[in-house]
Amino acid sequence: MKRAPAITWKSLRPCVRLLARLTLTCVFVIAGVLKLAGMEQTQAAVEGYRLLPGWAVWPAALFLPWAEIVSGAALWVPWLREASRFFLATLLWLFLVAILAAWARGLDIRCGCFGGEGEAGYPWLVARDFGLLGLLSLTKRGVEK
Amino acid sequence: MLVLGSLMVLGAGVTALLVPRPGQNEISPESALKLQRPLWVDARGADDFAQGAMPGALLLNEDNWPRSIATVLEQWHPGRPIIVYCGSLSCSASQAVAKRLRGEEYGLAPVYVLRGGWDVLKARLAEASQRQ
Repeated sequence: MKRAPAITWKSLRPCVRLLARLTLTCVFVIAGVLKLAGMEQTQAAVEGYRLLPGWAVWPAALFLPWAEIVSGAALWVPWLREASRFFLATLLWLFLVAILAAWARGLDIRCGCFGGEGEAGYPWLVARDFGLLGLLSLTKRGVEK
Repeated sequence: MLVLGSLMVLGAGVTALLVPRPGQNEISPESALKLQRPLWVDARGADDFAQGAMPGALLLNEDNWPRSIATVLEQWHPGRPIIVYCGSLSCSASQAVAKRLRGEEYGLAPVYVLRGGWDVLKARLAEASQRQ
């Protein structure tokens, strides 16, 4: 009788990478589309962080959804994948800095992460961003031994 | 990287052409009702306020400013959005109150003026209660 092949990290890695990529694409594309669907709320959310001067709020609100949609979708284009990972990591670190800065200043912000979503506490927002950064690190094609 | 950056800028440009920029410091009733715990400020007269106002709203206008501003400042905390409204689309009291709240004396932010005023807000509230 043939023995079933042992399940190793190496054998699981392609599936994990695929799932991580799929999750990231869904999260970022949905977040971007929801932001585009409610530009007024997106602008209010960006303004709520009080990090940008007034003139920069609208351009940032216009750029942010497209940065999410394009970066999320490009994870599936092999020759754009590295650039997409770079943009997604930059976005996630920017979100983290913005959230931590708002938390430190005691601001009662609306995240604005998924358009007009409900209230979410700071610890959850920070944990979610670190979780997404963790997922992003799983999408990297490492050296297979 | 250049390709992705160009696509992002292109998308933002097309959106800028298609979506009118929301009035600076103005907010629609639909968006206002979705904000988390905003502080509602009613800039109409006391008589209008007594006849009906947004639940929890504070009355603040030029006449009662010295008495009411302390209550507004007590209930506001950094980051809590303030939404000021007056009677209708054409009234200007909310603009004046919002400008004063944002000004150097108080420096509150963000302060929005409700587009359409109480007339539109009242209609939206009635629609929402009918749906429930």
